[in-house]
Amino acid sequence: MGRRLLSIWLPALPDGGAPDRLRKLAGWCQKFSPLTAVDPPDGVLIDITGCAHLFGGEAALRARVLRQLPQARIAIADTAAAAWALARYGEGGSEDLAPLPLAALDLPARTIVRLRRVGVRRIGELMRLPRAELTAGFGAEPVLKLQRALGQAPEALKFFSAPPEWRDIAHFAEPIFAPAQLQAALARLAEKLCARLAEARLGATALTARFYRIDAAVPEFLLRFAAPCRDEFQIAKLCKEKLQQIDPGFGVEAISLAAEQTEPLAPAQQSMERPAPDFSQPVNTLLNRLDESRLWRAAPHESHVPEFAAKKIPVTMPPVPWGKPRLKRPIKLLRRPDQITAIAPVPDDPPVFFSWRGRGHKIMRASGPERIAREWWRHGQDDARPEAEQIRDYYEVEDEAGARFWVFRAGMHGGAAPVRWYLHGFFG
Amino acid sequence: MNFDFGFSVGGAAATRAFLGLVGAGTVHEVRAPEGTAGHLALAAKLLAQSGDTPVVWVSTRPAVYPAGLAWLGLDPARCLFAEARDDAESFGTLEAALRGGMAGVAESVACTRLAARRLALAARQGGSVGFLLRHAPRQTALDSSAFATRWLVSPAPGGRLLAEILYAKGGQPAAFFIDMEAEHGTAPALDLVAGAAGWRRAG
Repeated sequence: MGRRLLSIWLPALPDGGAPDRLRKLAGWCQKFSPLTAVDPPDGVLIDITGCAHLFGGEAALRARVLRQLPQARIAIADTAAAAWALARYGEGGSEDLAPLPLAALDLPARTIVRLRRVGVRRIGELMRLPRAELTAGFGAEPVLKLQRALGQAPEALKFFSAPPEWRDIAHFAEPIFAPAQLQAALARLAEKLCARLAEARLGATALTARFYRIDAAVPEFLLRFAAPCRDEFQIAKLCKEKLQQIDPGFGVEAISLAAEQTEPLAPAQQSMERPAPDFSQPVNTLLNRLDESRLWRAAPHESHVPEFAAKKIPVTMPPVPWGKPRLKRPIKLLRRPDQITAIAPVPDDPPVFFSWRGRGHKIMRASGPERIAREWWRHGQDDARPEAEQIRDYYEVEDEAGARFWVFRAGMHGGAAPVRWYLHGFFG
Repeated sequence: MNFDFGFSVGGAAATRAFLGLVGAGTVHEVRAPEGTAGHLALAAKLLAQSGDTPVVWVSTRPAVYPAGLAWLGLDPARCLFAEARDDAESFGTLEAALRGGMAGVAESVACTRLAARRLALAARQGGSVGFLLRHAPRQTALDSSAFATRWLVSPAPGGRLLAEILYAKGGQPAAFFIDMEAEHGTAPALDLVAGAAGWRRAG
């Protein structure tokens, strides 16, 4: 199956077919197909090859476009030139080019007049003429246009990709690579972009800077913001830090700065009073220095197992309120409980002595136990070790120097597995 | 940032000493013996009283337990946690936070005098309070006087911490017993230790 192209003609464009309006229309038409092109002065071309079935076939697609653009005339054909001709001069949905007038081939008026003089009025009559003689008599254009319409000569179509809305680009006459030049260019771009964002009352939450190098490489960096931002000084400062990651190679021809994500940001009212403290700037600095994996907030999580009772959430999310804790918890918790050697009276007394990292601690005071069972619904059944033994008994113990630890006994005396003692946290 | 300690014990001298020490725009070094976490507890307890400024906790091995912070009265929703690759990045993170007006706590192994001066400057510019926590002995070769105070927090029997002020800019060294078991969410209860050994006027 060949290509199928849909041409839209807007005979009565309200503002005389301004290029902006056509571009907007072409961008809008990308909902039908990713390949759309502006067709100046008053048309849009869509490549619907392999797309029509998504809208219920060509007829349904045609009906849908017409419903949304009632003033338009549209046509579908195998080539762009044929679709162009049929949209403007076609009748009744026929794809036959033969009955169309010569003007449908978009020939210059002079050529049409000369062809009419020899009795050629329609495309069908032109098709019957020998091509070589036509070229000799009327130049290459009538034959070329005819061949394009019939799919015998290649057509050059300039498809259009919607530009990101918040993107500014700076081109340089000479490649630049000095850090100071790159910084200055980014600062100018940030100023331009922020001025446009301010007009639209938006703030960026993610920015990408791309560096178009002369050797066709495009290194880039991403800036993240904890809150919407359109402060050009802050953006320029963050860019300056991130520039260290960028290798300009033999030079950079162009730099673009694009706001990938934006959020509404109302203009701030200047006030005579001291403004409420805003901590977004240091948070943005840290976020871009450490990236999201190494900067987080803690949110409570519904779990009795201490290491799962807090989970990490990104700093871009609002903080989650914590309730007043019900039970005493240590200030420092080891990521993995550290196994210790403990001497404890059986069956379930706190230890009287334990040794951790080669140092002995004689326990003077202890409180507990706080029994925490395993979350059995998360684990498979193990017949060798009953669920009743999958417990931890936590004790807060204080050694002779006063250092307080959070230790626990895993398992129970007389169970299938011997008991193990672990150190899990520190109180002070 | 205003610290409002509701001191109940220890007398007027201790109150004055404390209030003068942990004010806005200062960085404090808190040391603790290896294998204890009294410095974390003291920093949390002090920051719990400091309004609602966000607090950044940075470490190369983050182990601060949010539920433990909540127990000591510091709302974990106020806190941001950061993991640094090395001490230098910890200092850089703390510096950025302090300069931006946030409170910060960094754990590090060592601390150079240059790093100490930079942190002190950042805190002064941002009007914020910072803590640098280390496992270190009472005295090291690189003790810096850029910090407003230097503390040694060691465990004391009976659920208390012994907080000794080794150095205080423009203040007298002193030692306090801090009762961590006192009602959580309130100011630490302080006891001035009379005649504690090892005081010196640090310079």
